[in-house]
Amino acid sequence: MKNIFKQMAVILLFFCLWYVFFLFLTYHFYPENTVVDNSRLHERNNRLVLGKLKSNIFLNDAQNILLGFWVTKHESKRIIIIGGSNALRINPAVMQKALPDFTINLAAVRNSNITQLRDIVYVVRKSSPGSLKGTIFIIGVCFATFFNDNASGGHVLYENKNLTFLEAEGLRYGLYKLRDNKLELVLAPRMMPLAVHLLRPFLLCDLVFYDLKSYYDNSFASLHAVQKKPQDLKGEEFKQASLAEWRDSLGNIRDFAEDGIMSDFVTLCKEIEKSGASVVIVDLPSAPWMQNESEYYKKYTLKRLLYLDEDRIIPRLRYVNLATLLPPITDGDFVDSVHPTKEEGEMWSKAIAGFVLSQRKFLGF
Amino acid sequence: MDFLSIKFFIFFFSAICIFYLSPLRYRISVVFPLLNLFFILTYVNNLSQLLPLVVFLGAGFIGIRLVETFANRVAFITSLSVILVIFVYLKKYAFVSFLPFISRSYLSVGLSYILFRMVQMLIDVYQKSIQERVSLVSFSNFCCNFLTFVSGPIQRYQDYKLQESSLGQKALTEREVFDSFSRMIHGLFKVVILSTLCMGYYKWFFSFMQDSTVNESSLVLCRKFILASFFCSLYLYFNFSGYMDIVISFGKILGFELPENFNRPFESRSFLEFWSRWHITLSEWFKFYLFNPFVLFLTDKWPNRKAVPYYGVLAYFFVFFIMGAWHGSSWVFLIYGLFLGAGMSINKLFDVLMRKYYSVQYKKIIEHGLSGLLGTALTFSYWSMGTSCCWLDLKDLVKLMIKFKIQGFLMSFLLGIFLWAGALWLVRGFKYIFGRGITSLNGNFYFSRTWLSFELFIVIGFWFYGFGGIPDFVYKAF
Amino acid sequence: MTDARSQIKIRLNKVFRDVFDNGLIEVFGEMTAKDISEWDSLMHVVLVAAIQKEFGVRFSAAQIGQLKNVGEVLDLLEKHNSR
Repeated sequence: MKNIFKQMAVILLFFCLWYVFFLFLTYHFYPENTVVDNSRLHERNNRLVLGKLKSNIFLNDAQNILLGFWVTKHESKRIIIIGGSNALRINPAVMQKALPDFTINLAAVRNSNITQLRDIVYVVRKSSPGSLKGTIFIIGVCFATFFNDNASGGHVLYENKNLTFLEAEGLRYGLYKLRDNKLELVLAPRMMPLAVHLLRPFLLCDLVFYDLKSYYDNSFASLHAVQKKPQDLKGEEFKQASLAEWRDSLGNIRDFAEDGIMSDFVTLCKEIEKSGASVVIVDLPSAPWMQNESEYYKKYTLKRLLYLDEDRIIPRLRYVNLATLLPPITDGDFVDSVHPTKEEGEMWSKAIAGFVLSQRKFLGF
Repeated sequence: MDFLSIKFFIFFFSAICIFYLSPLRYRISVVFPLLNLFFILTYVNNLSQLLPLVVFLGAGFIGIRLVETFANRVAFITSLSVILVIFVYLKKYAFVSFLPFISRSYLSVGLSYILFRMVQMLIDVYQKSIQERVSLVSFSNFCCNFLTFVSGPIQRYQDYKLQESSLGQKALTEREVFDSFSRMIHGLFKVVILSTLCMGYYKWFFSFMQDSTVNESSLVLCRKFILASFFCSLYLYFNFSGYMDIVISFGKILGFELPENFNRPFESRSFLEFWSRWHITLSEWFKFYLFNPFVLFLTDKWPNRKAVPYYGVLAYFFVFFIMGAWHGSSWVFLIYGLFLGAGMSINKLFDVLMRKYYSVQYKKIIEHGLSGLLGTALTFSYWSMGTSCCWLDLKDLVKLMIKFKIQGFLMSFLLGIFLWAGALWLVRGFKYIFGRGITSLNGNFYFSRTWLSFELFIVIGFWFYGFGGIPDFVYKAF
Repeated sequence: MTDARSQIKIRLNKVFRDVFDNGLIEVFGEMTAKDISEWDSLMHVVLVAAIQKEFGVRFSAAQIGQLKNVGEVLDLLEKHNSR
């Protein structure tokens, strides 16, 4: 027995040395961020990054929210942008110029629907001590925000359960658990920053493994013809492929943007408002051909008349259709059906910042 | 209990503490049964799920008692048949699918391995190889040993009893303890990282192969197929042998010697040799209780000297057909059985013919150099191809067969031999150049500890990274 | 070595020569399958069958499986004879 514990202790001691070494390494390479900014992470997820390690220790946009909010400073005046992958194209640096008093957090996550938005708001609320007064949530919505939870939209399969990307990432380190399909903290909120700091060596591991994997995937992929993605196609073929892809991820049109979903969204906005924060709902435009051809888009335009405009009755809440603030948009402003080009993204950012400034009285700053 | 969970590691530490802190005389009679019970209970949500297992064990114990008391053929055959019938029913084999199965979920983990243990005890009690009376505690400890419950190694009752009586008599040396920990961490490395990677690539190549259109050149298709097969068998190896490493070293720390299940199987130079290196305890079991009696029966019945080698061909086919079919309850595994049987009997036939027409000493001549390398590659290639197919369902398997035809399989097989021979050659070259250096480094106190703890760190890191994608223990399903 | 044991050994040697068709075999206690190239798992059973016949004994499945060397065979046969 003595021998067993002695050997165990020796191995653990060496393990701790490694741990401390890697912990030190992470602080050297990844100084702590002051804001949560998913735009850089989003870019990283699309290509190989060996040698480009110096942006953020968190592996992906979901991790950046679930863990990142616990270790960033909480300024009294901040803007938190949430939404789907098209909201990720908003450029926080451009907004910062127009709104110098605010810290801009870009906390959008790909494939977000109401469930993910609610989870993000939950994390923000739990991680902010006191009330959310002075915080402005900018919710970037588009038709693709309103799909039913049962639709496949970006879900990952884990232990035969369909989890959203955010949920799976929340469960990964055991800091969150699932209850009634909602993420919940496992530890007390005051323990969370410490836990996130302690996880850093393993977060580094994640980054290295991720890079290695994408490196190998890329090198193997050249050996085999991979199925073409819609982005690589042109013209009518591309349109049909994207429409099919949307149908696949948004599910049955009958379950899409149902009254229940729309009123859930309104409830969410009211909850945010109750916690002291202000809400700006920004309706992000899609490519004109998409607006013309997608049945989902058509259903959404009907529903938003009914629900989103109604939100005007909530104080400290504003709704704006971004397209009305922009010069006429064309298909060329988008890289695919919903994601704007870099230049268009900057235009969006400017327009949103301008809108926030114009509503300062209502928003209370 | 999932072996790759925080729960398991808490269990691991507490088992060691409880085991060593309790007085020696209670370890076997009280502590060990309690640990086993606790371990099994983690697999069920409510106690009723345990009922089939309890019935199965009960039938086995009563059977053994009957054979002990009456010691006649009737008691033996009745008990054996009852156990087999319950087993086939609980495992829901396809050939009895007309029966009304229990629709509620119940614990089916470990049933196969319990069957092997109970049949072994039954036969040995009947044949008087086990002479002392089997007590209920020994029986349940042996059958439900948490170390071997999930999937072996399949220990023999007599060996287990020896362990029981010598438990705690010899303290482990520091070296032994370190080696056990080191083996456990290597095992974790195999399961968590290597098997996950191999599984990923297996699935990847397999999906490429299944999606591929007909106009693709057949060589490309064959390459995908053989790579998928290789990764599949490597995945099985890392997964299974990694778990064995964990279990055997855990046992060692508690003071139990469990039998080895693997002895570098991918270095076998023939299919016959392969089965003395892969899942050893299973092949041994089949040798003891099926192969030997079957050959004995044949030689007794038709004692013709000239025919003896061909009895071997027949017996290998028969035994490996059964063994392959045991692996699963669906029809695909019958095909797998045929495939294994065919491999073994062709190999035996080759052996017979070589001895007859070339030289009795032929093995010594062809086992070395290039021919040995080719033999190894051939063995691996054949086995991989068969193994990768048994994960398909019957419909997909037939589709694959139509797509490939005989020449496709043959071409993949040849390509596989070529690829594996090349890979082996590289590995051997690497070992030749760096082997001695690595061994001497491992002898260094600081290096070995530093390396081991780094490995542990990487395992934990990868465990987080591969969250939800780390494969479960494959052999649990069998 | 006792007289009975050497008697058994002589008879056993005859069986070995017969089974492996090799007049030069001289059995010894530590002799294993490695010492005779024909001794594989199939011939093991054939050998056991021949021994059973010669000595009029029956081994159990566990005994057959666990026999590792000639010494163990001798022990078993001796034990049987003394009964």
